[in-house]
Amino acid sequence: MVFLLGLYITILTAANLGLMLYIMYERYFAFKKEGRKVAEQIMREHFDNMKFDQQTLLADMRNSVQTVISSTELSGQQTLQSLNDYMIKAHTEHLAKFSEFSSKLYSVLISSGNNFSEQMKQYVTDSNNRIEEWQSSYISVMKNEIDSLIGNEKQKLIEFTEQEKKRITSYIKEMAVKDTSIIVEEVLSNGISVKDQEKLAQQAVEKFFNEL
Amino acid sequence: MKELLQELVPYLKTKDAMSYFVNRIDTAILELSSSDVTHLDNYFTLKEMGTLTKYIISFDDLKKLREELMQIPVITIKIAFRPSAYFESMLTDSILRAVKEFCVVQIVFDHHLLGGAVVDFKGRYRDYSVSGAINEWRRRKI
Repeated sequence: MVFLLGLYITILTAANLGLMLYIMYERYFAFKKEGRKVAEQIMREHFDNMKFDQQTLLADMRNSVQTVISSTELSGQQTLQSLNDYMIKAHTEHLAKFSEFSSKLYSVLISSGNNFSEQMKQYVTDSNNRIEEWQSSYISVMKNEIDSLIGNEKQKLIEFTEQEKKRITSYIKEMAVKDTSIIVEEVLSNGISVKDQEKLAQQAVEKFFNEL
Repeated sequence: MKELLQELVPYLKTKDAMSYFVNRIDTAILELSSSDVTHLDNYFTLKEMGTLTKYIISFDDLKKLREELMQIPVITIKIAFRPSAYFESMLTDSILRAVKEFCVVQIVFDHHLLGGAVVDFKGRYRDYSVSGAINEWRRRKI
């Protein structure tokens, strides 16, 4: 009788434990799935913003390049030099803006009180270095290509400019999506511990009552 | 009635507890359907009865209590994680200490916030979440 009772209790405990583990397992995957949706949503929003920003920048570039090319006061060599200077300036500004996005996003998250890993800090540094490297190599390639166009017609210059615009837009788009995705994934996966979450929530409530 | 509320509200700290209490008043009003309040112990716990019997002497008092409870403001705190019972209770207590008036707390989970909290109380809405900070920065800079 005692043996049967013992067996019954053991089976009941094992069943309860199994059920508990199953529920935890289910919840964990539901959270991961929801987290991915958030990452995708933020990425999409960021992508749309970048796209809009690039369209404005490219429209501005196109107008300025056309103005330089159609200027009757400039000779062929001067036209190329002006175009080169303008494109370098525009691309440098745009890339600097993107680099600023990565570092600002990082600083916003840090100032919110998150305890980020060394890996995250390393990522931001690598990302900025990568942008700088690409920027200097791009400028050197562009200089050579533009120099080879000396003596050609204006139409060829316009075509070259358009082609470069497409190339850089596509590259920056790809880079923006990739970098934002990594940052958001980092936040969602291991960026904020439960302890930090509690601290952040408490700080927010205190701030609310201080501002009342 | 003010004395009754002063005794009851610290006991009914959360919106859920308040709703449950009001539901029991509604049931009592519906089922008793008379001016007799001697059978309230069928609807409330011994602890609650200890407070209620001191102030509720008529059916109208019960209805008035319900009206007063329904007017108590709710402070909603939206957070990015599922809190432990200990943290929830600690946060609720700290809020009630800070408010200095009758109110009940509602804590809501929303993973979209990523971190921090969104607080809503008597028409004052403040977003102190991480996602709010990112969106605000993005709106200004990009």
